[in-house]
Amino acid sequence: MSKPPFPDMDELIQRLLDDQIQPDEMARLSQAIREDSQVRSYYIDSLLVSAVIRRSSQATGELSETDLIVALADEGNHGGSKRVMRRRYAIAALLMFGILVLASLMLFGPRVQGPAIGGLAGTYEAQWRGARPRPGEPLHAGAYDLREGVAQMELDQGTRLLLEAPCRIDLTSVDEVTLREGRLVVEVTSPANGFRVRTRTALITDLGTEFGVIARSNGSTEAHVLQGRIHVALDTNGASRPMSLVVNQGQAATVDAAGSTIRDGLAARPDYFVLQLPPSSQRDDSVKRLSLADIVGGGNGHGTGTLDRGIDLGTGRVFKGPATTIRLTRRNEFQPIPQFRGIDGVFVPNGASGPVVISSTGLTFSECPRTMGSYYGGPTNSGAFFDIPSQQTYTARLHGVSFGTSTHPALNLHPNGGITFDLDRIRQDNPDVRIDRFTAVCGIPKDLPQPQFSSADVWVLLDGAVGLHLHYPEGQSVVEAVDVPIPAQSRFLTLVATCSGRADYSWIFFGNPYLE
Amino acid sequence: MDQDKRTLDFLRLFVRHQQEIYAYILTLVPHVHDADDLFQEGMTVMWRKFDQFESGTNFAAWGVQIMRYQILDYRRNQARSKRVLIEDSLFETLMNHLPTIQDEMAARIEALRRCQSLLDDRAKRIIKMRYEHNTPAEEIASYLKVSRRHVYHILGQINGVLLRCMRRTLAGGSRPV
Repeated sequence: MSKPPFPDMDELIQRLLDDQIQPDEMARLSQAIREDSQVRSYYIDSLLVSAVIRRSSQATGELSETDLIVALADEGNHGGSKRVMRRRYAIAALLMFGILVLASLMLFGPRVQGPAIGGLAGTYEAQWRGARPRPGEPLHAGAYDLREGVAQMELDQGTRLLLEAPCRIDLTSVDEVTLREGRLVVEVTSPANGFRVRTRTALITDLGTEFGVIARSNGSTEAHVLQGRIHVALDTNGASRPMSLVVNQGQAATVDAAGSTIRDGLAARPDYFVLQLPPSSQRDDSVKRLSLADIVGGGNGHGTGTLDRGIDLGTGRVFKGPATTIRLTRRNEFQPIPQFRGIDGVFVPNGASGPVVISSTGLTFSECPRTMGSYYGGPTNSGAFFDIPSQQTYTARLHGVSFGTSTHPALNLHPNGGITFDLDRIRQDNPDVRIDRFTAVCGIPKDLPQPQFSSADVWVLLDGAVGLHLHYPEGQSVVEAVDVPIPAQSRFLTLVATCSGRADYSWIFFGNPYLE
Repeated sequence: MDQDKRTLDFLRLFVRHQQEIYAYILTLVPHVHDADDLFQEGMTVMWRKFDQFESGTNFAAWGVQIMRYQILDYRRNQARSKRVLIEDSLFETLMNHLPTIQDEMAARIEALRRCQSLLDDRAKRIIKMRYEHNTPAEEIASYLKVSRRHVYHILGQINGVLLRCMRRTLAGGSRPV
């Protein structure tokens, strides 16, 4: 069988290989493989394809078997002295190669080796690629690739590293780490300083301090001094001339992607970093809850919705996200959505265009500020944002955790936009869920390709009355906890995001938006 | 020199059969990094036990037996983690099924290697990213400027092409068709 036996089988296999498959998907795939021999055959062949490509491209696969056989066959022959020498050289070369193969497999694989130079003090929803240390386990020199969450490493001699995913490092020694890509915070607690962070373009040396470093994929480096001071030097290989400077507390320096210049005098941004290991998120599984993101995705609130599905604010129609076009409307028009159970409608808020109607019953949002009436798609069951200039899609993260997944749903609400949920309908459909409050995290992620153009505001309304107002000034990436009590008699819950000016890069999202 | 010959013998057999052994591991442990770890550990064990290998018998089958115990150990260790492993009943189904097709594996792998060389450059580049560098689908999507789902679709198509080619090759002799 060369066609997938069911439509998303290829996707499930790929998600399985990526370690991203969910338990319900795994159960579905397992059942199909067990019960249907064609599915089993397709699974085995598909894994064979990936195995063959993976191993044929490794060092061991590049060794020509013919070379080995020729060398071995020559062993019994006795030609002239040159021939003997050639044979010996061939065998010696192959033995050398063999030693290298064994060494590379045993020493340079994903497993890190060598003496312990510290330990993993704790993690928050950590997922690793390659070496997977666990809290309490020793850390060895080698590569660590944190794909999700936060990890706290404590090196001998009292240096603490806080890694925020995605982050790739090479632990070199107790006094040096190479940051390949991502961000980390270094806190040196011992009096002896001199701890170094290397990136592709810079060498940052601690002078008794706490500092954050960002190594971007293009090679540029940022160093932010949170306490004390640091020394920043250009990488000597990339720099046209030696250059270094000292950066003091509250300041930051950047090194360009070419590694040729250092720019200092910038303000340090503590909000770019996770400064403490977040407490592990433990929730009472007996409390039932409903995901508003899932409802926006056409689901029942329990994960049946479609990821990346949104509702266009201009038409009220479903679209496949992320949005890629900015639109403008001059009218406050409420778009009822009777086809969506649980959603009353959507609208583009603009206090300058008359009363802002937020429900099918004619409720209005009297505090709505003036906006430009621009919008970018509409509320979406997604943590993804599309950056028009770079044509890249970005994923909202908080504490290193990606949002817009089945485990961490996200309701993307780019300004200017509003959505009203019909709580009565949701209660009718979910009599077993007691709806007492709306909880989420809300804000603008910090990995924006550009700073937001204007300040943004988020409003949570209950039957048109403001239950919560959050303000997001320009140039600050803030994500805040939301917890709004919902009285039993409330019928409409409305979420609104507005911008005072152009809404570019005001990437508002609600993470884990639950009614519970 | 005996030791040299022993090393060469092992390497010759290992190079020839490594894909069969790795495919066995990956089918039962479909997480690339874990499979790589097991492969390394298993290779070390195979090297240590190479004296027990009876020359002239099936090296891949011998290696698979060693890997089988490595995999069982791995599953015991992973049982308490939150990782999504393939469930026991499926694991047993595959564990029982794989030996029945072990003899066909070498031919399938040879066919796949030939078919792989016939792919166009774009397809080669994508599968190299995906399987050689183990690049997540999301990163490939970003590189290709398409959705993650579309990457799954592309990989599925390449997979389909390779499997069709493999079957035709196996049915039609040694030339890939």
